[in-house]
Amino acid sequence: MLLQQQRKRSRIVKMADSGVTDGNEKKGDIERAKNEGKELTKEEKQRLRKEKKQQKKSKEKKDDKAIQESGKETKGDSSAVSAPQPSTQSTAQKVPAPVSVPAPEAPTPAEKPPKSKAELKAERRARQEAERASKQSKKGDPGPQGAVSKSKAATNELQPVKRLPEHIQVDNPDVLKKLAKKLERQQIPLRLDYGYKVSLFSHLHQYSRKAPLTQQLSIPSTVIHPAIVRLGLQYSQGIVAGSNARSIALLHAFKQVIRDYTTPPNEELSRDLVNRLKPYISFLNQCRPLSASMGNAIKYVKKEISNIPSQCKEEEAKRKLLFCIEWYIKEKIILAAKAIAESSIEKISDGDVILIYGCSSLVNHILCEALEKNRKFRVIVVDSRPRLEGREALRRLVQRGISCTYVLISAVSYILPEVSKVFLGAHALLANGYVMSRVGTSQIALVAKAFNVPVLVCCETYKFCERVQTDSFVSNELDDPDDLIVTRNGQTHLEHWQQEPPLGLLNLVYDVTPPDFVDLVITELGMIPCTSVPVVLRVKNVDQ
Amino acid sequence: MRLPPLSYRDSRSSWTKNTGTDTMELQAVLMAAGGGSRMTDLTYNTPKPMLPVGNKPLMWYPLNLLERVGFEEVIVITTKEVQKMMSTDSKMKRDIKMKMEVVCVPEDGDMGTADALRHIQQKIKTDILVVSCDLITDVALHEVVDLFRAHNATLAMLMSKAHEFTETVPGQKGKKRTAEQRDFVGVDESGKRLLFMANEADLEDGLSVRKSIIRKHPRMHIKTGLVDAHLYCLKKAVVDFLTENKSISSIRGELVPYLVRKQFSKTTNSQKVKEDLEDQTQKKNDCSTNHELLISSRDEPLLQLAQERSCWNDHRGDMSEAYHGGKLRCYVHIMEQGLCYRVNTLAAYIEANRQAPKLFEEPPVHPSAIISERCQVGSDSIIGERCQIAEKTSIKRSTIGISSNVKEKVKVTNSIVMHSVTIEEGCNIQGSVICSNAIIGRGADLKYCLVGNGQRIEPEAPCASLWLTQIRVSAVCVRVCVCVFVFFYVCVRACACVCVHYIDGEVREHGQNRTTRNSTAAACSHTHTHTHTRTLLTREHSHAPFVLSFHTTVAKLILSNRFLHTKTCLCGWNTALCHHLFWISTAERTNEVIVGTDQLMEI
Repeated sequence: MLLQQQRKRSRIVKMADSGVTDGNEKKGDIERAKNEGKELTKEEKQRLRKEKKQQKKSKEKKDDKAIQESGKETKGDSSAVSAPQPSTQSTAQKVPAPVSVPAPEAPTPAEKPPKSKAELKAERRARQEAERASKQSKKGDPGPQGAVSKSKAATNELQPVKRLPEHIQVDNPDVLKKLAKKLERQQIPLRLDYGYKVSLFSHLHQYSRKAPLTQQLSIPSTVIHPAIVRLGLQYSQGIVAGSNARSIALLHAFKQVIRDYTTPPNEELSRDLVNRLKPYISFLNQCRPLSASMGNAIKYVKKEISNIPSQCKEEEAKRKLLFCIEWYIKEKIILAAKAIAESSIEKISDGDVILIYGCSSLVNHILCEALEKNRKFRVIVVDSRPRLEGREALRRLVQRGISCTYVLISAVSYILPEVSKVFLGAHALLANGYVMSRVGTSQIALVAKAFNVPVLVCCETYKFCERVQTDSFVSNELDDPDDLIVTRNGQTHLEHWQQEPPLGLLNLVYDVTPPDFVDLVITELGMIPCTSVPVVLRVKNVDQ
Repeated sequence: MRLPPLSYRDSRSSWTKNTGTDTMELQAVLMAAGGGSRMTDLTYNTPKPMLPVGNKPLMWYPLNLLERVGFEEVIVITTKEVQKMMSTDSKMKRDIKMKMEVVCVPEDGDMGTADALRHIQQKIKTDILVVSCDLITDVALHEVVDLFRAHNATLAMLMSKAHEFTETVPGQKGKKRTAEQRDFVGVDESGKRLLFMANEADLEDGLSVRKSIIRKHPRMHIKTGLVDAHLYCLKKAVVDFLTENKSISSIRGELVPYLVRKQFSKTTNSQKVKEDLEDQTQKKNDCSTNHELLISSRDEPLLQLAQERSCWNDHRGDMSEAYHGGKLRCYVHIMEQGLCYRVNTLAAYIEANRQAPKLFEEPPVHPSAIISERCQVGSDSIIGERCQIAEKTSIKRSTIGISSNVKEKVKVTNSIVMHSVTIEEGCNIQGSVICSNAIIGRGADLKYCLVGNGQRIEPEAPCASLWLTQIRVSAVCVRVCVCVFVFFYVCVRACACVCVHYIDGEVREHGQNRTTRNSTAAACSHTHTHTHTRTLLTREHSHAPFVLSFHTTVAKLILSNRFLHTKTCLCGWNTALCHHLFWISTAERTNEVIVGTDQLMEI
């Protein structure tokens, strides 16, 4: 019985996490939750055991307290009971806040185990939340969404879902505390979140470009290698943007670090160097969340370092590592791009009208190569605010002499009838075949599908990622909301947006495109369907 | 100060220490060898770096700035004299925990800042941060350094909006403030990239901007009213370039404009060299220097690759890549708010003293000062160590230096009193600067005066007196700082008034051409016989190229100020000067016309 309850609860948590609003997606989510529920059972069992133990302890401790607080508890419980039971169909909008928290206690009021402090706290918070929500609904505000995100915080506090990465649990104070501790140990300052976050995204970091991490760093940086500091700044200011550029710059910085490295006495290079890199990586992660490609590159470098035998001389080890990094860049990025260009040129025929979105270095490369192969084609560059990277793509293509048209994403359905192919870049390819890319990509893919235009995604295999993601809410990146502010004719409308409490700015960086909308993925291994990503990943793992 | 605390500063489990390599990110260089040529009144006995500002030596401020942001070492370029004073100064020893490496440069040898850098070239291992000793600021230094880092810049510098000095400055008439020659600073749309730089003095007629800049940056904002804080981040390659190129002697005057210009000069293109054959050799030179300036990273191609892949561009509107493919980039951070003073003039010095208390959180009254209970000390005043302040005194908006002694019934407002000054009973001091070791006699009434080092102002007395000359002769230049004439004058209403007459002539002789350069002379005009007495000190800058001896200058000045009509007692004068003054006085008596080199003067 309890187990079922737990499972139910986990489902709710999942739903809250993903912040589903759409009906269709919800169904999928529920199914997923069911599947995951099965997997979670072991964990859940363990947790249950722990909880029971705790309850016993607290019983002994708080026997007298419980009597005092019993009045309060009954109140709390009654409110819990009165709240609607969480059925699987209950929508997120229905204020599940007070429900999810005290659920396990509700059906067994006879037992009434005395609650731990945290539980009580959570309960109190849930009650407040419910009150607030009711108030807001009276006002006529679309409040419940906020309530959802907050209640989720409460549930998380109660029972942390394990193995969730830190960067998607920003609203969980425990996780933040842990992060702060870790950073303190690594002597990296903690970057503070900036501004008000739009509901459903409170679990993500949101930084301000105007408050760089270097503010809290000593100026001749002693803890962090200067190359890393520079790189971090370039990431956070967007000077180095795009996952290829970021990976190359990262490896370049690593090269400098390795060059300047000498093993301290009584240490082993393979261990010490990895430890040395760790704070650097968490520094970079705070400057801007790492991209999947960078994650893979870091994994590779770490593996290469740990592969170095202990009897290897330092100079030789360093040389080996530098060579490995060079090889990685050459093999995985430069040559891969070449291979992809070669195979995708086959797909470009004379008279094609190709639509591209944003500024993908790989797609640009392909188009330039195709031009050199004397293909006759025309390009439509679709762009979107706030970064307007499309302009850069446009500049590069026009400079090469490719005839281009430039439209904003709002005009995509207008322009699509004349398009014969859509070429898209990717930030990462996920294990379930979803394509993670610049926000807006999925919209373009969707419209292209509707117009029956083939969508080709170009992606090097080093961007393949074992993660699974079905929506853009759970794991994403929030850019500086101030980027959305525009000055036109000397007027800046959103200048004081922070002073308007009902107003939130959302500057989302990525979205995911379901495999249904993608016809083909072009990799250096050849053209594959989206669904073959796990295969490639498996093969890669065997290789390494 | 107001910056967030740096908790990661002391921790040096860092890459630098462990690696044992000498590579650091930045080396700090403090330039503290300047003589303070624009405020010779103050600096002729105390070198500029050691001038007290808020009871701390001036160079304490930049050192503190560096220490606060996390520098652990600094190279101090200074003179022997300053070094000696530094070693005895307790404040410097106690407050500055950085490792200071003092490098002495010969005094008074015309050594520019770039020369100084060349001098210490051996010690420079990496990029440098050059700070001038007269900078007082609360800038968040990371802003400047981040520009340097993020854009891989060759030069990053700090500028600030110029401050209006509202305080009345002793020795300056209201209108006399000829504005300093303005700088024109051109920045791009982001306001960060430094595109253009020119000084009013260099412009002959009108401002001309090169086409190559306009082509690349069609929108350029030219700003005026900015003060260069003399804080520069420079690539190591620049120092190496300096050693190659010996003609550049000053950073601000020559190097910075050169770098700013070079951003847009044609890059190493063989075609271009062919184009104008006439100055081919010069071009070649440029090419080689350019080439030198560019060596920054060993992995240039890789960085280039990352840049190519990145979808970022610093500009839009034309077809060229980020930074227009240029490798040499200069950036500037312009402070919109906050304190930023360069203490290089008397006015700035006074202003800095007023603002200094805001910069550090120390009790304004030093605990070792002895202050009697029945006196008023304003909260905006600073009282130094071991001061003695007697009863019934009132001190407002003033700084009282270390070991000074203020006797009864003294009123000090808006003034700066340096170290070991004695102020006798009943004095009234307003808006004045009193240098170290001076003694102010009983009942003196000083308004907007500047009293030189070790001067003694007699108690109110109907007689006038003149004091002191100092002539310093060094091998290269003859520098004559002349005297403070103090002369008392009892006006109609028996109100004591002190007039401080100050003449400072600076005569420099270069080689065989006996050209007098920058003959700065200041003299007092005269006291008004009105009821409201006020001392006026004038300062005359003669920019015209006089060719005349020092004595004539003095004579001319004295005459032009018409103050010899009162009887003056000449005592304690240097023989030569006395002789000339006598000569003048004879001239006066006979009502003769004295002929200067370029003009007639009538009495």
